[in-house]
Amino acid sequence: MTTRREFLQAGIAVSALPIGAMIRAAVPPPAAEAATATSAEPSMPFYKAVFDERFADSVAFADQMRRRGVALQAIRGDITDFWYRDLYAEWRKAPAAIAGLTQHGPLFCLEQLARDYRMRVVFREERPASAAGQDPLFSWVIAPVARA
Amino acid sequence: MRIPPGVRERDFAAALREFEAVVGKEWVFTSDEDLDLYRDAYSPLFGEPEERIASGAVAPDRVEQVQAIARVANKYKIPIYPISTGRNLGYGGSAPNYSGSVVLDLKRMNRILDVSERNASCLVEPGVSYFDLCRHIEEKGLKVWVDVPDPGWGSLIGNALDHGGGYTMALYRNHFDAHCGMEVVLANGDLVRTGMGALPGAETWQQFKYGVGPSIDGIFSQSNFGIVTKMGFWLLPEPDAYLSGTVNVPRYGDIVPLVDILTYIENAGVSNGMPMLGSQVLAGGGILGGPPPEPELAALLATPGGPRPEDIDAYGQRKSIPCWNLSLRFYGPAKAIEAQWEHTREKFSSIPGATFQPGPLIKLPLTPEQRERVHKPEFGIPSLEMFSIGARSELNPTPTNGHMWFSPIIPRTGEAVSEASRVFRQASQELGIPIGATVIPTMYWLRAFVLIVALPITRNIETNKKNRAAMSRLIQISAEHGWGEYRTPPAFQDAVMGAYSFNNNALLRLHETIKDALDPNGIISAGRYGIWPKHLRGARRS
Repeated sequence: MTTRREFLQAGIAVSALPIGAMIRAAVPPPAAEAATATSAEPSMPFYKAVFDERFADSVAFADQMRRRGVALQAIRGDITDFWYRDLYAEWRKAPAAIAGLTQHGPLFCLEQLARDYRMRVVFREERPASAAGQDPLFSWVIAPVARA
Repeated sequence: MRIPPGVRERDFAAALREFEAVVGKEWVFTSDEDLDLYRDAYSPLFGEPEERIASGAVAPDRVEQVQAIARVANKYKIPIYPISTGRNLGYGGSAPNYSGSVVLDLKRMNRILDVSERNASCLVEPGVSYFDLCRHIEEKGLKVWVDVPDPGWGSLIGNALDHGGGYTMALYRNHFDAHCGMEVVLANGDLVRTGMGALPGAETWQQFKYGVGPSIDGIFSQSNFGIVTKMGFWLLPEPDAYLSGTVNVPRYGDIVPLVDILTYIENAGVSNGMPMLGSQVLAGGGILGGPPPEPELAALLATPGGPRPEDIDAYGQRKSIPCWNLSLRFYGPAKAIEAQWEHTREKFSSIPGATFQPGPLIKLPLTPEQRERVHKPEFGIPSLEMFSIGARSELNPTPTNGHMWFSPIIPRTGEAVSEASRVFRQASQELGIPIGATVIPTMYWLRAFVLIVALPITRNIETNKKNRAAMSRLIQISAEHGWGEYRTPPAFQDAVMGAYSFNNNALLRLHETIKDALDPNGIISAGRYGIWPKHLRGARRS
């Protein structure tokens, strides 16, 4: 779990969107894990919110994000096209925060790719699988690392 | 601030200042947050004191800066660890072999210097990924393919230097073999070009590999003798068509003629794509092995000492399942590859009971709809799709933590496949690790098979210790049978290199002689593939 200090060091431009609160509003976490959100959290513009259209919880997250004016990116497990056709060009211009509710595979890929642009996962929360045998979903935010 | 072992704090501080003068302050990293980006996500030592951790990172964007960094590192005897894009997951990622090294991060050197459609070749820097090159080719509308690994997010140079492979024609899918020409910064900062690159004005750097005199490119792969800053590669001219077909043979013992004929048709150029051997009866199990077998088959596979061939054959006959299937791929003009498939069928028809399933003939380039359905790397298209395939199973409850690869080379014969399966099945039972009932080759070089077995990484230190001990034992068992790994994670490179022990480790002693001559202060990638600089050698050998 990201500490508050680490969270605050995500040094990116301020906008009207408090990220922790948004993620929680979209997908309420188990009570015991709701640890880092406060009204004083920094906020950031998301370039896009990534959701997996195969999972109802992820689609619900997308609906919440859409209502908040965040552009959406649908996937079905594989982020290749999103990376190849879209995010690569955006991140080459400038690092930009993204959020998502996906299984671990897409998150892992984006986390590894983000390293090249000195970005990292600043928020990560595992949610229990909603169906037996299904991999759990993770809500997450990837944002630039602030230089010490 | 982390300090490299054996380096005085004031020397390290001075070196960092000089690195900053070379590349700019913003491209030298020492904070824990920055350095965590270089941790190996799949480290079998994750979270243990022995985990390989960087003490700094420096990211140049041109070769002159790499030369200057090498000179500074030599001046202060700072261990450095060059990476290209650092995506060698399962074999070390971007973490250094020698903990405390400064990562020399070359991903900013990402220029595509040349792509020649006429010569079907390219010249790139280390930070160029397969995605980058394919995007460039697509944007320029060039009719060439890049042979890509799976996943395809890594560097062409990094993958080739670590002996990675892909999925298209044999001439291209061995990525180091497909390279043509290198530029290398030596430890003293000198700059060398190999092959025709050494001849000023030559236009043949990516055409003729050798130039004149000793061919030395090989000493820069899986090594620590220099820092490769440019490499040329041969590309595959876009084929007219693609055809796949499957050969099924009924009995366990058919593996011997099946492999012999496969080897013939590949070496004769009849089938030019990557083959894939499989078994609906014997495959499965292992941490990447898919769903568990049905109860009757599970009982058969669990036979103490392994299932007998006659029982395997009887099971297959009852269920009407052939024991082995072999997928073949053909690239070329449609008429030619249809004729090649016909000739292939004739050859395999000598195995009694062989049956054939032709796949579709696909005219290239792929339509967008076709592109969505195919295994993209077979068509030179990089992909990350493999990460979307769920791998959670009873044997691998936490696939998110990754795996380490055990990948021995075995002879390209059916007898060797059977013997390796027997040996590793027995080892799996003794060591309590999930390997599966039968180990089937995964990589197909023209004259050798590579088995690839994944052992899970967990976030439980005791489980990781047990799996590391198992890996070490597998390396030992392999060596006892004359099978050596083609590639291995840093934690096992000493053991694997140690197994190549002919004449009192004469090969490693030669490596060390070269290391001492080219890098007397031992600054580059200490310990990579078991090659330690002189000042660290004694402790590592003991």
